[in-house]
Amino acid sequence: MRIFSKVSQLTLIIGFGIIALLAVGYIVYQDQFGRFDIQHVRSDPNFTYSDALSCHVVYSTFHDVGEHFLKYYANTNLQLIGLTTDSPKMIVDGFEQPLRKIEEGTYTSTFYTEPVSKDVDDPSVEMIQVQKIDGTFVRSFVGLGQYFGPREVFYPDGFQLVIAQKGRCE
Amino acid sequence: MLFHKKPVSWLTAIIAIIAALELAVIIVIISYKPSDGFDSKMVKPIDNFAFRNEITCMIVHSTHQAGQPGMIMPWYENHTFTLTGLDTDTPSMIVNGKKWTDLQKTSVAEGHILLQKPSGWESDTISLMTNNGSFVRTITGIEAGDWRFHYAIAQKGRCK
Repeated sequence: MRIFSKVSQLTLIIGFGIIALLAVGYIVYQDQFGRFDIQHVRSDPNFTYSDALSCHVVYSTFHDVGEHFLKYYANTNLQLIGLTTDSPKMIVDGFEQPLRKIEEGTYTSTFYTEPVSKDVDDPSVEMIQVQKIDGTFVRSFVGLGQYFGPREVFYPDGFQLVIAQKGRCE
Repeated sequence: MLFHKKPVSWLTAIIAIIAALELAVIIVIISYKPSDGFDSKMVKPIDNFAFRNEITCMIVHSTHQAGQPGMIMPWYENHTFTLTGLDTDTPSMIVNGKKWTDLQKTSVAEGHILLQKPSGWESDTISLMTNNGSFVRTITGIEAGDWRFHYAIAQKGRCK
């Protein structure tokens, strides 16, 4: 009986120890590798840059879907079309966003969004930069609290939002 | 006797220590939420902010931290920068006393201006509230010396 008791206690200790190690490991992993700053999107060596790309957000600083109504940024898929033309566009959830090419180099193409319409007071802007050799991209957004019809973006008046994302195109 | 001294076995002592550690770990896990991150951090604006031609801005929250392994970007680890020529359409950003970049005023609304780096291999955008001095900023680009690493930085801060 005494031997059984000791065996049970040892089993408990080992069990608790393993759980504790896993929990601590998870926290350390989140701290070291779960931080947006150093998260690295795996590149595609077979990627070919073309006029139209289908892209997927892999990492984002944006999580607060519940607190602010930001359906537009809850989308993790976007399409880029007309990349080799003078009038590229980004399509998110069916909404066509005109883009302005600010740089096209050997390795990257960089775009800013243009106002949807001259009639819409839109002080927000997005940036997207596609790595032409491996298809990875980074995207960011700064904006003010207001409603942008087609984007369905709404948050409290005066609230300044900033989002950074990383992803991959194919 | 009020305190009866009982011998404590080493097994009991170890179990008690592990149980305490477990409790601490569980509390940390439960209290950890993704929304505790950058996304939900707010900057308290300045009440008596006066928008001028030249203002100094301080970064309060940033997704980029100094000393990250493999990321050498000291120019984005400065906590302050100065914006000059804000009464023109082409202000400048000064970092460490030197001109860092020209900017373009791409949007002017009541209580707000939008400044963007006009061209280049990286983008730099600042959304500044002219009524209270708070700002948000994003920078995207490719790390010099390692074109494979694509960086995207988001920052929040205030100017005075």
